[in-house]
Amino acid sequence: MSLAEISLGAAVKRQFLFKMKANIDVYSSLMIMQLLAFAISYGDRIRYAVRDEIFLSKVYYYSVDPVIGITIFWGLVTGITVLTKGYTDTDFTFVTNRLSSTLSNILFLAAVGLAGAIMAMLSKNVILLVALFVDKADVLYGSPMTAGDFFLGTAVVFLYVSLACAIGYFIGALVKLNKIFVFLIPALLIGSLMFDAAQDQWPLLFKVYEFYFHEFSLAIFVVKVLASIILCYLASFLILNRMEIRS
Amino acid sequence: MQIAEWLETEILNGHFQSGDKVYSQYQLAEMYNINPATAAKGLNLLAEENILYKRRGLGMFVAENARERIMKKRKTQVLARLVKEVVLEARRLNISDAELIEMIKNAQQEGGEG
Amino acid sequence: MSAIVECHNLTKKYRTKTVLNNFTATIEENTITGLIGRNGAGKTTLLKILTGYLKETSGKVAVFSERPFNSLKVSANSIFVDDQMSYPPALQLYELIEAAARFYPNFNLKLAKGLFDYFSFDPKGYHKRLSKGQKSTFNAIIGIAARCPLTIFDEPTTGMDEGVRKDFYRALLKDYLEFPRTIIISSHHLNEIEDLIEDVLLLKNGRAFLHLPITELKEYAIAFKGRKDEVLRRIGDRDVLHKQYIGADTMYAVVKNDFQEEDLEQARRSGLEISSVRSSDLFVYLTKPAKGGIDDVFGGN
Repeated sequence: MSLAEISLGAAVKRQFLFKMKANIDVYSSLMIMQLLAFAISYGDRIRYAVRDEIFLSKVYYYSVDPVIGITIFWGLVTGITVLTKGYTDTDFTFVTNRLSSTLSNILFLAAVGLAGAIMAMLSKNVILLVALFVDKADVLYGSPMTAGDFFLGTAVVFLYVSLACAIGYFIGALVKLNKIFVFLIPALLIGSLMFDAAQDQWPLLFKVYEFYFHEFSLAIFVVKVLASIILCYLASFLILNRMEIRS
Repeated sequence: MQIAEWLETEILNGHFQSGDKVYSQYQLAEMYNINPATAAKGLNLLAEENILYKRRGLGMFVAENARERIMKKRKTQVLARLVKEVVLEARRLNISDAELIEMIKNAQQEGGEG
Repeated sequence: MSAIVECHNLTKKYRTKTVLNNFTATIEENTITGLIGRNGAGKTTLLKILTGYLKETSGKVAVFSERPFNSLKVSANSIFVDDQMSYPPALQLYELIEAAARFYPNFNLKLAKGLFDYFSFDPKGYHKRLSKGQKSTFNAIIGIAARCPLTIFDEPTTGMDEGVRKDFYRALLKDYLEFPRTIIISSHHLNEIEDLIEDVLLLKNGRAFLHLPITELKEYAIAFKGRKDEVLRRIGDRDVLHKQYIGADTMYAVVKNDFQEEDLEQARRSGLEISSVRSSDLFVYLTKPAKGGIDDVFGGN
């Protein structure tokens, strides 16, 4: 019998398409979380009154930062989820090896991350519509996004979400290496906060946050984030490439 | 080998005549729900005993005198062994030769009627 | 014929336990091999190494001349079917069949659909809602229809009822006749698979204890029954695979069959009953953990 020859590319492509179809529930979890965040954003809109000689104006500030924040968090969780036992075993039911499994996971996370980023950015426009029609705003300061704003915004959110996915994936890989990381990672995070508090210094975690979120040069930001993503996935792959399945 | 015995019986009761093609290992596998390699071993066994012969690319055929060979084989092997066992058992039970022969005759009559 | 699976001194150790211990065997192309052994003999571990799920500790293992661990070639040309097969919970049963068909180039969708309907599966059902036996049946359908050059079934009939078992073995045989491939099927019930398989590979204590055609296994051993002293005299210093006492003075003993026909003839004449041993019984005798049997627990003979 002649053997089937399969290239890595073909295997990754098949697995990616399979994952897109099989993990449709990832989108519903995204949508539910974003809707929730959207409701919080809307409920939390800052509202105060301005009175001048003639008019009493109500002023609302709208922000979709919670939506973006929750999307990033969702990326982290999804990154961890694709390495839980059920998902990995499912991978190996059909044709795969550990490299194609990770590559197709990366592609899958990129695809859902992009969807998350686009939806988060769209919510920005939606909230303006809500302002117009629900809050009956008379004047909208600032204009709805231009296409350029939208693409740039989406790209930045996409990078943040992807970074979260990659970090989540790395955490997932560590947990696969040893279950102790389930406790160790939260313990280290909290421990580091407490240590910094005791030392009365600016917490390390905030420094990490600033490292990524307070970068004003777009180019350097992109390089920082991409490099971190690649590092996380590479480290994960090196761990996962030695792992046994269903042992 | 059950398959070999079954084919022998088919030849004995005339289902296959000399020169007829018998089932292939795959047909036997399908019919008897057995592995084709096991079926092939049954066929080869019969070929070794010259009950079947091979024709290259065509399959297995029933040999000339196959019936006689089978009958002779069964007589010298199977029947002889059965008779020995009967005799041994008769000895254990202290049955006299005359009594044993009588029993065989009775069995023959019953078999003939049935 | 060429070797599809080659193992040489294959060893698998876990922290405290050696599961495979210098296992050496070769499996030829387009044969059906029955991998038998008691629970815990190392069957599943061996099969998972062959499909690249697990990593060998030492020794050599080659499938299609390649080391299976992380081999795409091995993964694309082999399938491992057991009752733990995992599927995405979001997909319906028929979608799973279609997904499998996209992964395996030889997949026979028509056959899969035929079997799917025959066993009355609901195309819109979900795998996790199936009963144990139904799960096994569904997995078996995928395993047969995938038509992988190396098809591995690990205890495939777990939970299936008698009728379904028969249908499964029949379907496997028929499709094998139509589309020959190398099949390994593990079981701890030899009698279930003895007609289906060509070779028997008996695993004991992590080693290949026996590896021979099933037809030879049927002639591997012989049983003597009769007066104890007579039986003992005939079997001499041969290793007794199984012995049993019936009544005061009668003994039944199973030994390896390396007797000349005339020896057997003499034994018969001296009043012993000689019979062949059913391969499933022989399997039990060969794989029993140590010398002795259940009677010894009760301090019997």
